[in-house]
Amino acid sequence: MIEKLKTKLTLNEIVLSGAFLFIFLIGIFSNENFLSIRNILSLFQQMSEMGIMAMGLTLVIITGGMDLSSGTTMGLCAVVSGLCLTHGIGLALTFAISLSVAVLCGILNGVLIAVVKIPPMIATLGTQMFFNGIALALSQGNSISGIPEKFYFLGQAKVAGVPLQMILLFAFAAILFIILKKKVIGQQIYSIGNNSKASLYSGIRTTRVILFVYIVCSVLCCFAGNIQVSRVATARADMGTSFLMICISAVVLGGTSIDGGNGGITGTVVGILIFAMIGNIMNLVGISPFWQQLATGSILVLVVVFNKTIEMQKYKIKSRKV
Amino acid sequence: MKKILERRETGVFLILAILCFMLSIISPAFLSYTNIKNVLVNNVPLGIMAGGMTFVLITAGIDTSVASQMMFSATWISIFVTKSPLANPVTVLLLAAVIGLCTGAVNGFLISKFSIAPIIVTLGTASIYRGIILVYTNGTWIMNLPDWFTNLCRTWNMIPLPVVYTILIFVISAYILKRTYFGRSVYAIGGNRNAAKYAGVNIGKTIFLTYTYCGLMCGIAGLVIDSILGNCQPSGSTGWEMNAIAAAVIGGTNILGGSGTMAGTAIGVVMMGVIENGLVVAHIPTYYQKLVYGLIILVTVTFDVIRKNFADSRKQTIEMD
Repeated sequence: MIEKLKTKLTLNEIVLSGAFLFIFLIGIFSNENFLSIRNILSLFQQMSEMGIMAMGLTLVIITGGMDLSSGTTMGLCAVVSGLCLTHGIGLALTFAISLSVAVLCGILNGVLIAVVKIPPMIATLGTQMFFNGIALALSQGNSISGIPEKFYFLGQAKVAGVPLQMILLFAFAAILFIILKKKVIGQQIYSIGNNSKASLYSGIRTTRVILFVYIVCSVLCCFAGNIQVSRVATARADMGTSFLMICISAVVLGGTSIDGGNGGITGTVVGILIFAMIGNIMNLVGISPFWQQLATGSILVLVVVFNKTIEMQKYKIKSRKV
Repeated sequence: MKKILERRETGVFLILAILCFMLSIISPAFLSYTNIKNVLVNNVPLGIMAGGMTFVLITAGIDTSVASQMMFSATWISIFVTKSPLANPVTVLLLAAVIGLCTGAVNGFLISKFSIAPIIVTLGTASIYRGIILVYTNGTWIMNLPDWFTNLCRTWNMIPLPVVYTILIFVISAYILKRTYFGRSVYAIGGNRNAAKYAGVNIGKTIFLTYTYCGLMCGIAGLVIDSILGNCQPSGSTGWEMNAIAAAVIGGTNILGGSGTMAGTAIGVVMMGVIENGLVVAHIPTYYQKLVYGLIILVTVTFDVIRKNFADSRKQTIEMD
C-alpha cells in the first residue's frame, strides 16, 4: 500500500500534505473553535480572493512566465467596478466593463511578452506600475465607498449556508483543472513551460497560448477584485498589491516550479489553504498579525529548502548508481 | 566618440537631460540648488539599494528582499543608536555592514547551496526579515534619533554628505564590477552560466558573494535612511524593491543578465527622482507617478528588445539550449 502511494505521489505532494496536516493539527489543538463549521466557512470566505488570483498565476507560472501585475490588475478592476457602481451603472454592465478592462490588461501583458518578446518579469513590472497608476488616477488616490447594496451578493451572499465566493473558488478550480489536465491547450501550456522553442517547432501556436494564459490570469484577478469590493463595500487602488507575494509563495509551495513546465491547480489551492489556516489560527489564538508574515516567509523557505535537499540526495544516489 | 554614442547610458542620459531642460522651462524652481539637493538626497537610499541590485541583476538573479533588508538594518541601527552607550559613527557603520552582510549571506547561501530560484528565496526572506522587525518593535516608529547620528547625513558647506557617500559607493562598486576577478565573474555568469563554469568560474561562490554584496549595500542604505529621516518606521518603504529594479532596468541593466553598469543605474536612479520631482514641480498629482514610471519602463525595454532583435536578425547565430 505504502509502496503504491509512493509511486503515485510525488515528493512535493508528500511534503505539502505533511505541512498541511501539521498546521491543521496545530489548529485543532490550539483552539476548539477551529473545527467549527462557522470558522471553516469564514476561512474559505477569506481565502477565496487570494485563491482565485493564485490559480491564474499558476497557469502563468506553468508557462515559465510571471505576472507581477496581477495584484494591480485586481486593484484596477476593483476601482473600475467601484466607479461604475457609484455612478449608477447597472450590475451586468459593470461586470462587462470590469471584465473587458481585465481582458485588455491581459492582452497588453500577453502582447508585450509573446509578440515583443520582453522577459515576463520586466514586462509585468512595467505594467504593474502602469495599471496601478491608472487605478490611482481614476480613483484620485481615494477609496471609493458608497457601493450600492445590490452588489453585496458577490462577497456576502450564501447559497445553502455556503459563501458564494467559496463556490466560485471551487468552480474555477474545477474548470482550470479540467483545462490543464484534459484539454489540448492545457497540455500546450505545460509543453511551453518545458521548452517553448521545441513547442513552437512542433506546431504549437505559442503566441496564442501565452496570450490566452495572461488573459485568463487577468480575468481571474478581476473576479478576485470584484469579490473583495463586494465583501468590504469599498474599492481601493492598492487592494491586491499585498496579495501578490502570498499568491506567488502559495503557487510555489503547491509544487509549481518557478521555471515552468510542471505543477497544477490542486497544489496551489492547498498552498493558499495553508497560508489561510496560519492566518486563521493566529487570529483565533490572538497572536499579532506581524507573526503571520514571519511564519509565511519561514514556511515558504523551509518547504522549498526541504524539497531541494531531498531532491539533491536522490540525484546523488542516482548518479552514484550510474 | 562613436563608442560613447553607441552606449545605452548615453541614450538614457540624453532623455534625462531633455527632461531636466523641459522641467526647468516649466518651472524655474526646478533648477534651484535646494530642489536639486532634495531630489538627490531623497533618492540616496534607493540609489544604494539599486547599486546592489545591479550586481544581482547582472548575474541574471533577482533580489526582492532589498527593501526588507534595508528596513531590517535600519530598525536595529535606530534601536542601537537610541539605547546603547557604545554607539558612535564607527560602531554604527560596523553594525550596518555586519547586519547587511548577514542578511545578504542568508540569501546567498540559500540560493547558491540549494540552487533554488532567487525570486522564491528572496520572497521568503523578505517576509522573514520584515516579520522579525515588526514582531520586535510591534510596528511602532522609533523616534528622536540623536543629533550626532542625523549629522552624519547633514549638508556640509553646501555639499550634501549622503550624496558624497553614494558617489563613493558607486565608484567602488564600478571598480569591483569592471576591474576585479569577482566582478568579471558576475558578468560571465549572467552572460552564459555554462560557459562561465567551464571557464573555471566558481559559480556557487560568486553567486553567494553577489547576494552578500547586495545585502551589504542594503545594510548601508538602512543606516543612511535612518540618518536622513531622523526616525525609523519598521513598516515603511514597502515596494521599494520594485523601484530599485526599475531604476536598474531604466539604466540599461539587462534583467536576463550579462550586462549593466553602475553609471547606468546611477542615471536610472536620478531619472526616477527627477520624474517624481518633476510631477510635483509641474503641479501634476503624485498618483500619476506610478503611471509614468510604468510607461517609461515599458517604452525603454520595448525599445531595447526591438533593437536587440533587429541586431540579432542580422547575425547568423547557432543557439544551443
